[in-house]
Amino acid sequence: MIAFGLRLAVAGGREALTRLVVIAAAVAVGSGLLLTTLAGVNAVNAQLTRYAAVYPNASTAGSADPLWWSTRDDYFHGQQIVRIDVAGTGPDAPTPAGVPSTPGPGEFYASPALRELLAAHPADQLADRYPGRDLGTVGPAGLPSPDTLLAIVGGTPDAVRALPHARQVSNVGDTPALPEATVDLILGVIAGGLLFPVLIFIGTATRLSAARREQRFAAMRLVGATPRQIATVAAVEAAAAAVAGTAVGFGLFYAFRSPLAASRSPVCRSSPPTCRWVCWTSCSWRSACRPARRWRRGSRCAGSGSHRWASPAGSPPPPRARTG
Amino acid sequence: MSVVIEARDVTFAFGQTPALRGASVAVEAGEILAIMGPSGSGKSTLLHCLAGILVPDSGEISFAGARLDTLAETQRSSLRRDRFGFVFQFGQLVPELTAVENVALPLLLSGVRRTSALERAKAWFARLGLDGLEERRSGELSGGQAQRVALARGLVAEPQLLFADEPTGALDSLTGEQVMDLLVSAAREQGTTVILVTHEARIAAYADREVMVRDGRVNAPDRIVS
Repeated sequence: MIAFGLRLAVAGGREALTRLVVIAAAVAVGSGLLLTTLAGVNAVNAQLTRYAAVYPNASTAGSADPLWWSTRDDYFHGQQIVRIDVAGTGPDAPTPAGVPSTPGPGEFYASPALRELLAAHPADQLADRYPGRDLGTVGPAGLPSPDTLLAIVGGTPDAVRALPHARQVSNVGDTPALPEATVDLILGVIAGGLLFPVLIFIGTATRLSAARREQRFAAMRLVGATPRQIATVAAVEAAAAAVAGTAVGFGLFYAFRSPLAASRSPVCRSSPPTCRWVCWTSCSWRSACRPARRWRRGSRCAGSGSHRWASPAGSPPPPRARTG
Repeated sequence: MSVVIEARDVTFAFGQTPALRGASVAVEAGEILAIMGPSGSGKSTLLHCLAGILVPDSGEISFAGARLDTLAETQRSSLRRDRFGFVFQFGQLVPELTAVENVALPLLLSGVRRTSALERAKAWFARLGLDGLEERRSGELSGGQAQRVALARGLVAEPQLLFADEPTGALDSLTGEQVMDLLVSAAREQGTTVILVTHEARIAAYADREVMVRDGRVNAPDRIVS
């Protein structure tokens, strides 16, 4: 019966093939969207976790030796450079994300993008801002996006404590930005707004062939097909469309995954309001309003590289450590 | 001759609407019986009860000496597949299958190997003047051709009983007579009992005997036609 059901589904003439293709296409769209949604939520969560590592909350619990931390924005030719000044207060002080050890006074780490920028311009224009020993490159765990311009500069506790927005932190980059309930909420909203219409599409595509299916099954019942045989044929037909559609959906997802990843944040790139909402949720949970204010004042939208939100009226200009 | 199938005081209602009100009829082996009656008289319902498609509300249906109406759905399906054949007016061919696959369908459902089933099915195409139409789908067949394909499917498993419900209802008179000629000759050749529902006296004339259904009852006396 399985072979017979496949024969009906696949080799049942142009109409049967069209029916199979339409249902499979609907399933492919649905599964592709579902995969993209899950990947998008996961990507945003990972990215926000990295943002949280760049802008950690003040905390003194959990570590006997806190780390002095100050995050500032610098600009060079209109490009934002994130500068993090750190100073350990003892051997148990936490290490910033993406680097093997906390830089000491006169030492610094640079992100790959900043390293390229440093190499492309004379030292008196940019590199002199980071005097001292270059310890290496900041790894992906410490970067919200691959093109983030970021430097982690070591200093003495007294010097870092005197910097703007200085705080003591005892945990860096070890907490997910979005709690599970928030992820569930995001998935629920996306499922309702995006996947529900696709489900209706799948249902409509299936119903379009319902009359012909009824005729087919009635004819089979007439000549003695048992209910189990009918159920088997129906299941095989449905499974053929579902399997083909799911396979195509996975194929589409994997085909577009690299371009989506290259865009660094598909959710943000395609939907700034969604991004804003996700960021707001993250910040509320983290009580980290400062990063949100920074983003609103003109920093990139979760690494999209393309969106800048308008500065609120009367808000001060972005902080500049030095002008480039 | 022995009675092959019999209905006794069968009643059946579609919801609140009674269709059969104590119908009784007996059919002998090898006989061709015409069930006649006006529209809505219950003749098709009686045929469906005899074939095990519908289960009567009360009364008995016996086939080959055993109760048919008390069998489970699976057993009745098995009977329809192996012992009965069907030729109806509309919608009996599976549109996704070719003509030869439609004819072979009862055999395929019985578990006969595909090549063997198709071989047996193809033999009927020459017999019923359907040469060259084996690979066509039902939408590519004329009404008469489709009805002959259905007749071939009804007889391919060499059933004991062939149920024909208005088999020429959608055909013109000439094509209808050709189909009836083929039906009667093939049934006689195989020794198949035929129960034929029709409202046309011209078609009923092909039968050995005819009964009249009125208001859900089979009217006596039966009349021998030939």
